[in-house]
Amino acid sequence: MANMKVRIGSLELANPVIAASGTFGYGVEFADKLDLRKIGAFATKGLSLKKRAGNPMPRICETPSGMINSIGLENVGLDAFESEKLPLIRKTGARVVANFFGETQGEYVAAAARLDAMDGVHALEMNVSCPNVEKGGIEFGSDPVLLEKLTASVRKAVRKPLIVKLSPNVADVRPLAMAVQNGGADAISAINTLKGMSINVRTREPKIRRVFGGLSGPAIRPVAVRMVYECATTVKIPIIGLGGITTVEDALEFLIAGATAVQVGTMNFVEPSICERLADELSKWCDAEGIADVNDLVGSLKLG
Amino acid sequence: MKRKIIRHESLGGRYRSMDFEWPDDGAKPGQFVMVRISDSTDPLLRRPMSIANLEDGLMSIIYNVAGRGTSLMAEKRAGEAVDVLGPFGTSFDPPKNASHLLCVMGGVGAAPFLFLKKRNKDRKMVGFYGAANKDGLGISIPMDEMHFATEDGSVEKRGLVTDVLLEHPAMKNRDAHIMACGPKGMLRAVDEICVKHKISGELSLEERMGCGFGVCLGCAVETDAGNKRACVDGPVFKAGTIRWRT
Ligand SMILES: Cc1cc2nc3c(=O)[nH]c(=O)nc-3n(C[C@H](O)[C@H](O)[C@H](O)COP(=O)(O)OP(=O)(O)OC[C@H]3O[C@@H](n4cnc5c(N)ncnc54)[C@H](O)[C@@H]3O)c2cc1C
Ligand SMILES: Cc1cc2nc3c(=O)[nH]c(=O)nc-3n(C[C@H](O)[C@H](O)[C@H](O)COP(=O)(O)O)c2cc1C
Ligand code: FES
Repeated sequence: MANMKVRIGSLELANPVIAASGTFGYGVEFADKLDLRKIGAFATKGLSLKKRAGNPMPRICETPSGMINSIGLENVGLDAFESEKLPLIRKTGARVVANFFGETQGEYVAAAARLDAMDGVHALEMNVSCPNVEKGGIEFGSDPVLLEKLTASVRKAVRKPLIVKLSPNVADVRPLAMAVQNGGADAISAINTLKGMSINVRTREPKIRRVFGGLSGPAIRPVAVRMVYECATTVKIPIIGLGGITTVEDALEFLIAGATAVQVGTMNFVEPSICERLADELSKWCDAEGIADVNDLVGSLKLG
Repeated sequence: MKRKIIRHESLGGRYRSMDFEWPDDGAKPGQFVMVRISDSTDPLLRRPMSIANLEDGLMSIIYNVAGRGTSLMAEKRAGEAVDVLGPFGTSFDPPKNASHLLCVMGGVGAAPFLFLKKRNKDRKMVGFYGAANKDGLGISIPMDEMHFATEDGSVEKRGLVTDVLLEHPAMKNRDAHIMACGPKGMLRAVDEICVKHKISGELSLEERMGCGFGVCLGCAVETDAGNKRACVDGPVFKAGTIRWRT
């Protein structure tokens, strides 16, 4: 059987399939839907120091082969995560990537430091698609200088593997990937949702109360593959690729483009056991193709 | 989970009913399932559908052809498979000692009451069924007493179903219990009636649902106790707890 193990910094995963943040709750919701030990890891819903109520309804709408969401980063907060969720998560034997965010650099650092100290959290994933309230609302993930500073200060505060999740809502992702590497992160995950909008033509109202939301699902996959390729050809740290993964071929596309691991998001809603199925199919695909190590696929794109 | 469709037919008017194989897994009236429209990714999300019955190894759903997803669903034939997850959510739980069970139903929102009545054959229930017109009253439920209201007056009373409810003598009884499922406006009116008349009530809310099992947070309902998820903390909520937004 082919080797399926991959490394993200000091973290070794049993296989490259990770469930994406915001689509997998706090993991425990999936304990009866798949075997959490058979997937590489799962990422928690984005966590913040204090609990957040999120945005008004409607928060989601369907689009062609995709969906737009504007949940507003609703989450239970770090206290409840540690006392209520984490004890249950630990029992499942899952590998846990704690996704987190803040509104100021100080909040990011404080949240990261707390998660770093929590038993049962194996890695941290920093969501930088959030407005910096101290810098007039510019997204942390859209400015290379800001992003490198943020990454470096969080890096200093944590020992666990640090993944920075990039936003696709930028003109060029490469300087941002570079900033993350220079800041000392262990890996990059890409991409977060694409800013989108949809209108009910009958009522002439936006389908999402907050007008804009994040587009996800199969519709964004070609954009995601392109950005993963751009990141992988710019930096040396491992990339975790995501955006619209639905089949094992989709996952392979990301690996070949240069991703060491992949995440599956929106499709968890449609097929709750998809991560386990894709991990299994990926292993079978490698065996059938005579590939001894899944890492051999990473960045194996052939250019004419 | 793929299930074989055994029957799929029009109920006359706007509604269709689909019966597929399903073991009696303890699903309760008020709960719902998530139906995948096709194996492709467009339409992508599953559609929530109330359980309209579960009996003899068959589950029934009754649906209104409302948009693209339900139109495609209507093309499925008996013998084909349908991919269904569930049951999900809370159920109606009428108090044992209620003097009257009053069921307020709007359009296709009557579907869960068919299941409720089937599971409570020995309990007397009064139905109040409203819709825009005759076509919207297509679900027939063996209630012990039935009242209708249509906005165009084509069946019985012209007006709102809540007006008919208010005229019913059982409303004088504090031990009556109201259960409701239908459009938001109707639910809100029923909620206000429950609070004003100090009658206990349960409301089944419809919200956009991404997953149906509590992880996307797309279905938030504002309550006195903060945000709740319509799919796991509901769809059936206690009257007097919802914070309605205009
Ligand atoms: C708990 C629950 C139980 C339901 N039970 C029934 C039932 O028994 N019979 C029935 O006919 N309908 C029921 N509905 C409504 C039904 O889910 C929608 O009519 C259906 O999703 C419309 O899909 P569409 O693709 O045809 O419409 P479109 O308008 O094209 O759908 C676009 C998107 O909006 C969502 N959507 C549209 N209308 C609604 C709605 N009213 N509620 C929630 N999401 C909606 C769809 O799921 C889809 O994601 C229920 C809804 C909920 C939340
Ligand atoms: C409903 C929903 C909520 C999400 N919440 C978060 C979040 O809290 N933090 C985060 O970093 N990404 C969040 N995401 C983004 C996903 O993790 C992922 O980056 C994106 O959806 C693209 O992958 P996909 O096409 O496979 O869904 C969310 C996505 C969806 C659909
Ligand atoms: S539908 Fe996803 S949380 Fe309720």
